[in-house]
Amino acid sequence: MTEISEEAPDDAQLNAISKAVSAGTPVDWAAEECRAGTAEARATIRELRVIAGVSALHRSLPAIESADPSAEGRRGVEQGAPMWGPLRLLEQIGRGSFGDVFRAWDTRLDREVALKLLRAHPAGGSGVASIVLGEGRLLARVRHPNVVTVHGADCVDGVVGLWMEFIHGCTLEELLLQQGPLSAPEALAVGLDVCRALSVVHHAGMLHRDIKSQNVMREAGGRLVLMDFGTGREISEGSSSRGTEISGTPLYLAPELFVGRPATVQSDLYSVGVLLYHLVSGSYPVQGTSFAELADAHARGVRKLLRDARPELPAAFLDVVERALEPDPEKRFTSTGALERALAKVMIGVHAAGAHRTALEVPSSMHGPRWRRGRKFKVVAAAACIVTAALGYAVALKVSGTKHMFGTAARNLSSGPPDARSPAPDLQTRRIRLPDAMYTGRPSPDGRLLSYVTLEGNLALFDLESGETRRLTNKGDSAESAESQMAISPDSRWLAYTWAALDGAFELRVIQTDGKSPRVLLRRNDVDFPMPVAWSGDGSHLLVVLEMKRKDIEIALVSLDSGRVDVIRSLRAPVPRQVSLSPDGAFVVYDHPATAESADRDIFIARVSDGHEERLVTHPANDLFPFWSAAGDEIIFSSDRAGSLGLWALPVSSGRAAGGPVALHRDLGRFYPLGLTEAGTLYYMLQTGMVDVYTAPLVSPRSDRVGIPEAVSSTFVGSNNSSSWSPDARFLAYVSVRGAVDTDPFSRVLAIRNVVDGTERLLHPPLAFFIAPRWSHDSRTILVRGTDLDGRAGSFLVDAVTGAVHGTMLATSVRGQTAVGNVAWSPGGDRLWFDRPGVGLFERATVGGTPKKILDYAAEGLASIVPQPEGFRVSPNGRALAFYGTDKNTGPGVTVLKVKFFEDPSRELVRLTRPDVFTSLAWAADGTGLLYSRRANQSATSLWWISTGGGEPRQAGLTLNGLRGLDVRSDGRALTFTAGAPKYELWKMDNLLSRPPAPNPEPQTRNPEP
Amino acid sequence: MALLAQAQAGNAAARDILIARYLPRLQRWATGRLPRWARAVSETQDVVQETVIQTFKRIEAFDARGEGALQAYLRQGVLNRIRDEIRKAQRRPSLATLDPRVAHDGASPLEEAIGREAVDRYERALARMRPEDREAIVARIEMGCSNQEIAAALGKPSANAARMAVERALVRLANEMRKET
Repeated sequence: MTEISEEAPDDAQLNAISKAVSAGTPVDWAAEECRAGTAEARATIRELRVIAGVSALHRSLPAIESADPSAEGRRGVEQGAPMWGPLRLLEQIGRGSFGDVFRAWDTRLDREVALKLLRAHPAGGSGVASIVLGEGRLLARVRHPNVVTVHGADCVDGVVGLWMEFIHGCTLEELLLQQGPLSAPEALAVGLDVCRALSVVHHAGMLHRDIKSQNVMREAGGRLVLMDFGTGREISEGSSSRGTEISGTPLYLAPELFVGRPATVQSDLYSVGVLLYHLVSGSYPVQGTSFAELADAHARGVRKLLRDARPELPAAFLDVVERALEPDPEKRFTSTGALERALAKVMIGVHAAGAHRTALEVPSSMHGPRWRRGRKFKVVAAAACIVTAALGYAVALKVSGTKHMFGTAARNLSSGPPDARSPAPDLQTRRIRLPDAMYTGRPSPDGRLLSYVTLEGNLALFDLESGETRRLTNKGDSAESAESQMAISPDSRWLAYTWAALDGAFELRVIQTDGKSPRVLLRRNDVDFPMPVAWSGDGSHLLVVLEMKRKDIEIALVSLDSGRVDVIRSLRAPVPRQVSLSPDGAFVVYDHPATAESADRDIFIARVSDGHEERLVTHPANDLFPFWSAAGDEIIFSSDRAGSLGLWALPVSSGRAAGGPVALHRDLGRFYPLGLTEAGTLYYMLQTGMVDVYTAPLVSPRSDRVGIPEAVSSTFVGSNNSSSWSPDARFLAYVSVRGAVDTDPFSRVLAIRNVVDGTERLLHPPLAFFIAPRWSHDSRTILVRGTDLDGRAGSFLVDAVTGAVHGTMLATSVRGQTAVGNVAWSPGGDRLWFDRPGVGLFERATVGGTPKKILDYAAEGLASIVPQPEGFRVSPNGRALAFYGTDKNTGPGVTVLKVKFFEDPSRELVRLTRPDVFTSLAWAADGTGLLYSRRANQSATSLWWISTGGGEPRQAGLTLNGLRGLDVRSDGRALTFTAGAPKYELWKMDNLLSRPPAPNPEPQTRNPEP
Repeated sequence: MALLAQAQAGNAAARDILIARYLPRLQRWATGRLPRWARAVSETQDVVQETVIQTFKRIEAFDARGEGALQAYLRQGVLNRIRDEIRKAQRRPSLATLDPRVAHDGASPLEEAIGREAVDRYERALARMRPEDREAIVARIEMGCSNQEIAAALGKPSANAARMAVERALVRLANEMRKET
């Protein structure tokens, strides 16, 4: 690099030109060249002119026209598809005896719906047509998260149709076929939700009359939805006269219906009993291939008891199912509520027993079908306790060596009984201080070395015993760098790694661990990103995962000698989190989502010789990060099947499971395994600290004092954020990160919590990432900020019932200009307000329409402000806007909080200078004050209140690490917020393979038949 | 810096703000970098967006020197991606290249303005600069950041200090470019 000499005579001239180039002011180049004293200076001036050209070009680039929001809002419209009224038929998804079911697009409301169309024309108002129309009429009375939401029923051009929410998921029958019978706790969770749904139906004066596994859908996130009321009838509508009509699926029909008695609540409950029987056994209590055979079997009392089909199930569960299946309706439960209570009692029993015996198979809590819930977590602690906990894991570390995770410590502080899930005593964990690293690689098989990438992008090794570091590459200032994937050979002499070359291509390289002989092993145009994951035992081959340009994934072996690539298996995206080669080199195991829509992975095994693949571990939970033990007799993997992410071991033999998974550690927190050494030491990264959403009462009329906060979620503790109240104060929406790795698509769910009864349902908006939910005034739509599945950032409108996205405002148009800055609901809650920083505030309809400018930032003297997303809030009465952001007119590091009443000039209320920053903002419900959070340093963030009329801000009595996401309830009596911050640490766990044998078979694997 | 650190610690809001901050700038910048015919093959802005989003997916692993470094890094990523797109496009000629109106138009606006050789010389010299110099130049010359923004991104005490850093870096860059001619 050339440093210009201090004595150079042309310094002053060059500096002056440089100043002009930087400022973009004109330079008389010819004159300057003439003035230059030396040839060198002249040449330098010519180069400065080139630089000025670069600068001028970039300054001259056209502002690109903004997006047409209406076009973006109308997603999914497929031209030419047939219409039924306002609905565009997109694809047929089902065929029933009465009609066909379609996925359709509601062009008026821009949402996806399921449409059931009657095949025959209703000549003279036939019974079938009136049934379908009746179904809609009946169902319109029922609103429950576990009952399909029917939008309407109509007759268009003589065709009768019924449209309802579109459920993305599978039926329980499909689930059963894919995964085999459910465990008792899973079936209990299903039973509880079906009972809740059925209670509402019965309460509305109807019977379902067709409960069966094909009529219960499980959404991708776990919500169960009771479907298809095609045979539903009102109880009061002359049951006796209509009772002779038999409808529903014969296998599920109560015996009394076969002899002409009327359908009742008890006959629905019998069907629930058959459903539970079927879910845990795969068969039915009364078998038959025809209606007559079934009637005969019922008449003769031929039935198979569930205790005979699955004797190992908890006795209490068997009792409840058998009672629901009593041939005599009088002996069954008297109501759906009674059955629900009985199931709930069984669930408690299973949980209690599980704490001592088989807790590992309990995937669910009392409250629903959320297959991956953790234990109840009740915050009874005072605010002081939460503050202590939130200040960090360091406190927890001092308490106990094994309570290394903040979440664990917090739970023990507040949940009372000792944690039954602490690790076995021989599994010792220890934190290792890692040098500053951009990426961390895998440990060497002998456990002595760990590779990493330095902050500069060089490849380096960390000696795990001595703590010494060694840099292997020297890229200097060049733009090339080592990438995230590395693998050390069994003899520790070689390191394979991914290298970003100067031209932007990613190469697979190997280098000696002393830094000598680097070479390119693989560089191919069709490979986007090669990842070395493991070496063969003899060091002759490298197991690699290739991210292909065409977006799929290849698992392959690369010969170190010839560079030859042998593909073992091709997969669709996403990339497995871990691929592991068996010690004998015959198999690879890897994690992969079972379907493209799933966030949950299963463990697969593929034969190296022919790529034959089988699912090794199948469970509704997330199973991932498989590692082969050095002896080849076990696969260690991670799973959240016990509610939290833990470690499990699966015995294997000849590429098949040789038993069920055994829990090694049921709650390791959010960890990311790096590798397992031959001696059985697991190295892993641990995310410490937790982020959660809380509510707290506001204890003064002006919302300037806060009471004791409570955590909102009892499950998935520590991975929730961004909460907001619905306008009617009945619901709280928040974002829950459920995946092991939160960059996974579909790892985020939008949880809708009913704060009145504590129930919760989960929405899965088709977005890669989203935060900051904000409710429309009718509580039907939620505005979120995020990125869609194509990676486009913006704001999106999410249906609060279905989770479907039916409106999109991209932050940038397709052509790149900032189209939309911050977005908020208009005061009426039916339109959107958005801003373009420096330009103004606009209003538009939720779908389409031309934006109307309602505030001109320049005219208001606000053009220099860039409001930040968390600090852009419309006042409750809609007459003012409050925001914070940077101001181009102030020095760097300054943020200002301003309020703008539309009739008045804007007013600056607070000005902060770094390190102090605002982290969020909310209006007091009466509009006279603002609550904001202010971070003073990296850990402490305090809540402040200031009158919109100005004056001194004052503290509102809450200081928490990472406080943000404020939202005041519409009645002004409560606040919700997010607190906490994650950190990452390197940990090791010893003796993973030398533990005493633990029984505890786990029923939800392959072949779970008793 | 605080924002970047927050984003790296997993704060999605911070990440979102950073994306919103850099994406429009990079997209605008990229229009000067891609030949017109290549733009017909691949939407520049999509490429930029995709690259930026990809980069942010790995932001927790990014060298934490600051936002100036981030901007330079993003620019490099986008540039690599654009080159990639150009190479791809050259391998499979598209209808656009057969259009007589655009067939001759292989240069990017930047190359049209100052010539391909000069662009290459500039680019190579830039790559040899110290990271702080490179970041300052990219921010000022290519991204059009204000001196205040540069001060914030590079951790300079004042806008004036940032301005001087840019000016000194420009002279060094010109000297570095001169060595090649």
